[in-house]
Amino acid sequence: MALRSLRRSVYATVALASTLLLSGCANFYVDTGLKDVPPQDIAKPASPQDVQLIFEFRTKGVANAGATALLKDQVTQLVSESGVFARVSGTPEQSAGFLSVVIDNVPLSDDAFSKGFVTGLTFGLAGNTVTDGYVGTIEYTPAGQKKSIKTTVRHAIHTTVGAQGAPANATPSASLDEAAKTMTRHVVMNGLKTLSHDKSFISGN
Amino acid sequence: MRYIKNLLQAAAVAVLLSACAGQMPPHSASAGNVQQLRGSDMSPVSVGAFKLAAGKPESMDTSITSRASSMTPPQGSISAYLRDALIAELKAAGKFDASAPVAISGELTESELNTNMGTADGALGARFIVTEGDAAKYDQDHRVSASWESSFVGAIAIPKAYQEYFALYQKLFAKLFADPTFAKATKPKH
Repeated sequence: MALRSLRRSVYATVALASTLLLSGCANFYVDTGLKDVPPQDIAKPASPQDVQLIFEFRTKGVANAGATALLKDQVTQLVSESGVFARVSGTPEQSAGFLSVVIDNVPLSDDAFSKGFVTGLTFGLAGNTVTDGYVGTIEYTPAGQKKSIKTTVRHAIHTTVGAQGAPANATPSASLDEAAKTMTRHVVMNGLKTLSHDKSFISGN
Repeated sequence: MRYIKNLLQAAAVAVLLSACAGQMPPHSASAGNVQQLRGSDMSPVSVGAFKLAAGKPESMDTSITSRASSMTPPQGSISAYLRDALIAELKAAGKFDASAPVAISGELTESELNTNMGTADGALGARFIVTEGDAAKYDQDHRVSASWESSFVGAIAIPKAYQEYFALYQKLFAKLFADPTFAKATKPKH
């Protein structure tokens, strides 16, 4: 009996994974808790400074080199075009500040709200919907200083499997790639918006 | 009977998806390490040779394997990959200077990845040596490890295993950079 149960479990796991990987039946939705930032909402410094940018994507706190490589150019472009900094570089320079952008894909469970996530959905595994949480940490250290300005942004991507209806409070994406890029844009731009209005940041520019 | 046929088909798909060989991705500097180095009083250093530690199997230096999949370093050896990864971290923090009198060299002492079903684990170890001219200023072994839940399905377990393995490089450097005697050793005498 136990063997039969184990076989069923193994078969179900393999079948689910194969289905997800091969059939493309999963649908992806970006949570509406965080939205696009209109350019006018970002405070442009009077004299923007050069900055060195480091981007890192993590999964449950562990560096994810593949996802970092996939999103690095997009993050660089978003920071460059935001108008918050004069010139964005990947290497350190004497006159440049330091901007660290880290996005961590975290598991969400019932205590998601206590972790600061706010959406209209039930988190974790609810029926055929799985929610991935993302914690974006944007930290800026002005040139020649050690004290940094830090802001944290939270977001989520919902995945449904099968012919389930769209979750509430979420925008459909054509693919996981598109959902990830939308989530990244929301996280980076909302983080930069908060940073650009920070009193310490304004006084340093 | 039908169940076994279905299971074999599904398993074959998983194996097909996972049994492959590829190249190790370029190391990406850790935001945490770069911030730590920027805030430290470490002096810029050059980086010398890295090689496999004496007595270690040659295979440890040539590739890393996860179930039916393997990855090889574009540099030709994992010790050379470790060297380039260290340079990437130092460069990102402004602590690399190819002409600096103080140099870091090293030996790969461990590179393990066991993608078992249930719990998987990995470990990375190296001996780091800081020299200035002929004088050795620092000589220390460092080792880091990780363990994680590992899926039955190779297509899920293998990418996860590689992610954990490559993250060990950042962890190893974090351990080195956090050693106060290391930062002290990087300061040139003159």
